[in-house]
Amino acid sequence: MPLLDITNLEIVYKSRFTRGGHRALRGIDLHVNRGETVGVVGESGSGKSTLAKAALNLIRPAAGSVTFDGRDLSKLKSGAMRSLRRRMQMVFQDPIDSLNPRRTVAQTLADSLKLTRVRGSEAADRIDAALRQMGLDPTLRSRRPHELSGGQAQRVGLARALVLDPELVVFDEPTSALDVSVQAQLLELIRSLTEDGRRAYVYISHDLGTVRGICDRVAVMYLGEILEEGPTKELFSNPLHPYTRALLSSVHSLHGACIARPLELSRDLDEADASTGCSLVPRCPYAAADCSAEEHGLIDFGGGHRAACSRIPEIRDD
Amino acid sequence: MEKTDPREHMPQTREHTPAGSMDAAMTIDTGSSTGLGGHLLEVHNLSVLLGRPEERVAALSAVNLRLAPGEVLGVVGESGGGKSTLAKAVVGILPEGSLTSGEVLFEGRNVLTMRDVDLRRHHGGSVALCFQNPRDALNPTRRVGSQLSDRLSTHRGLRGAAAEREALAMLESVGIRSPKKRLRTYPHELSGGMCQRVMIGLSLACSPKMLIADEPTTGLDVTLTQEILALIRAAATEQGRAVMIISHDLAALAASCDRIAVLYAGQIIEEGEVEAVICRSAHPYTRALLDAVPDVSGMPVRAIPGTMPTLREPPSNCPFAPRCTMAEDRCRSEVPPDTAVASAHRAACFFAEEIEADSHAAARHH
Repeated sequence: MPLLDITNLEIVYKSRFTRGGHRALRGIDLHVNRGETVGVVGESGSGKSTLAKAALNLIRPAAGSVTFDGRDLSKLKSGAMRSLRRRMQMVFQDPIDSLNPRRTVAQTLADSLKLTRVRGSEAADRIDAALRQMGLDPTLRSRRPHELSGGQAQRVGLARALVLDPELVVFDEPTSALDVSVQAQLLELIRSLTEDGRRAYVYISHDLGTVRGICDRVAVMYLGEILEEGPTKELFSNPLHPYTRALLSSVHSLHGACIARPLELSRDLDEADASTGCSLVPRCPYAAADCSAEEHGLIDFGGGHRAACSRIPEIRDD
Repeated sequence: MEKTDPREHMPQTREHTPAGSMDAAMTIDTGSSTGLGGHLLEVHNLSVLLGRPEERVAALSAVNLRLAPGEVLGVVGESGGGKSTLAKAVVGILPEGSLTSGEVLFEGRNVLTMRDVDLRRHHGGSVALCFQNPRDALNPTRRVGSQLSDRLSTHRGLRGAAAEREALAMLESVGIRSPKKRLRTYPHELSGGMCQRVMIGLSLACSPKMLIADEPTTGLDVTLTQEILALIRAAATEQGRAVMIISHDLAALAASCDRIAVLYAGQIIEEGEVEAVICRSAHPYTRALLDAVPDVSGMPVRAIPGTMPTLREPPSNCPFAPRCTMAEDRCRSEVPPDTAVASAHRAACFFAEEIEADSHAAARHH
């Protein structure tokens, strides 16, 4: 049984402009097993961060369910939810802003430990151990966020999440605010964490390169839906959905030419929220009449590789 | 804190005042305006010290650079490497109290010693800076259209309907749909990509001879990054402007520039044509930087240990030596010379030639 099981999840944000609200996520199915790192990629506004929050029950779903270790999170009472909290943690995008500016590093980590029964000198030991594990000198313990560099702050963010020894960790763009060489140091650290095989990780990013290096499986999101999902290597070497192909062909590799057969999507700046059918229709060069008529979920192409496009058999070798 | 006056290390320094007034002792060497050899911009031995006297930062040390019309130069490096200071020196907007030595020759005239009136002309028609983070760089309280017309009236004397026509054409040329509607919007109503387009439109509004784009794609999605870079590239190839793109995204630069200069701790440690710098890197830092970029080809990331130093004075050794796997004693005691490893490809390293040969072999093996 997967540790995190998201089925048919729908999230609707209240909106003054859209009747019935803005549907940020539609029909999301995603499961994450222990020992696995699942990447979620997509452009801004595709719903990646909403998915991260929903996975930790920080937003209430309009439909569908999020199940953690067999328990439906939306049905839990607040007390029960709180005791589950320490088993699921999140690392945020902006390292410095996501820490409380008035609390020292040690206080921030101690706040996390309040979810457990660990107190006193045992707590202090746990905090030092967590800092050391993240490559930080425990003497930083009395610093406040503004006295840390971006890289150090993000290591504190990691320590805050991992001091609880959670079973699920959700990373929301953990390195996008960092410089190249600092990012590389953080990525090495995150990679070593994911390789120990005990926890489940969800890694959200718009940087395809980092996702390729860290994740076992990848889901590609577009306008609130998952359009393709598969094992990382398979998805990068053999993208099926036109959107994934366009996304991959727009990034350049420094160690070789373009990695995907080129495909250009037209940029529709006033993207209409398609009520039926495939949401890529206004931009897709392969769009046919039935693409906007019928609703189709992910189609299985074997080996855990699934894509939401009914025309793949025809366009595969184009 | 240092006890010595940092000026001792820099002969012929000039102090910049807010008004940008000229140091009386300095004379402009008009003789150098001849013999430019087709280069629009020539930076000779430029050093910049920033900050207060008690807390100087050697932001740039002995930088040499040339740029011709129609050419795209990428400047890459980590934060604090001096990328933005270089841009500011070229535009002539170094912060108050900076000490400079060397020359920034734009069409043969030294930007560092320009009088106010010449600087104003320099800003409008000669060089335009496309700022990092467009949403913050645009005025949030004024409509996009009025910000565009402002620039057109200041630098090109266009008024009223003529300015509006030109502003419309400008927005259209940077790929903004329904430009008429967009002229009446405020920056906060635009998406990040759209803001960046407006910013580029603003910078190109007065047909500058040179465009400097400071981190134009930071925070943008991959597909948008492509489009913005194509737009900037077009300013060089189609309109014949000289373009400098400042970025820490090596992959993006590789895809859109003719040449790349790598900055480390205020020095250009390697410079050459894109292919040469990426496939036949001649400096250990460039190689380490390439290995640190998460790549879609699945190459594992290798981090560079340590951090870049903040120099208080121009270095007397190789600033990368403490992090370099190849460093020897002389790297820690001498400044490595600029070594030409091929035509138009140079690196500041004692081992430049060996490294270049090795990178080349490794690339072929790949």
